[in-house]
Amino acid sequence: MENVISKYCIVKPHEVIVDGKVDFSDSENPEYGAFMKAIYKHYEVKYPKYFKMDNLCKVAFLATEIVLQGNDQIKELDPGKVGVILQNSHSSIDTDSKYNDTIKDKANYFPSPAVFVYTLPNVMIGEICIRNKFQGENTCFIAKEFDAEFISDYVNGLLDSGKIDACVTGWADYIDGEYCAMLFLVEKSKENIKDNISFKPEFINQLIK
Amino acid sequence: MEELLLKIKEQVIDVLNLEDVEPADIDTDAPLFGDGLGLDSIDALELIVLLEKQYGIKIEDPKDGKKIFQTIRTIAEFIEEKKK
Repeated sequence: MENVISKYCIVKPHEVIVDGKVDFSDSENPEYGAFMKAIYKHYEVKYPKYFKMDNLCKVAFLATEIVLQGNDQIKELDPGKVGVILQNSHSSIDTDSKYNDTIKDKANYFPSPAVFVYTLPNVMIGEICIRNKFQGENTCFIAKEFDAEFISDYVNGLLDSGKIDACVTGWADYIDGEYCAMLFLVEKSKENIKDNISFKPEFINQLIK
Repeated sequence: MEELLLKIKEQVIDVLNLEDVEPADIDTDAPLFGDGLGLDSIDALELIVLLEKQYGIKIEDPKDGKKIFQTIRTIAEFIEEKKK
């Protein structure tokens, strides 16, 4: 049985694409934080902890919210069987640098706990898991660019082995105001669902072109 | 005291990124943790840093934070006490 993309979302500067169509755009808020807040409001996300997240977590979190919005079936799955497998190229370097700023001056040495907790890329996965109560396999791979072949191999392997039944997967990256999230909800194919796209590199690469 | 209470509220909103919360929205005597502003353990650590950075007050034992950070008023009273 093949694994399919039941929904996907791309968040990039000025626009949000859902299943191939521009779902939201906002050229009035070009700055990252303002655009993320516009997305948060547009999709009526209610999660105050969002505002405490770092830049990387915000884009990954919002893309996940959009992918899972209106999906009640995911809540019925065993939480231990929903995975989150992500990839990015700049890890958590944006927040690592911010944290370093709080400790580099010995005369003004005030390490920030709230910044420190985001100094790992896996934390974006943690935020997604906490929000959705997912407890399945999760990891973040660092790569120069999104590697559809690697990700599909890994995620399909998890699904085929029965370790997970569904997975939020893809790419989420942030560095110096440049960002992109491309997240897919991948599930085992169901007989009553047609037209879903197979989670294979050739199809994934077509979607993100 | 009123001036200090307002200042603390503004600082708490700033360091804890309390979006869409105004100083007037924070009840001076309401619990900050749990039902109040819904703060968590990381926020508690950030409040310890705030006291040290803004007021030069160092809390040696984080356990003391539970009493000090009960409400905005208890923070203000603690600062006033330390100033003496």
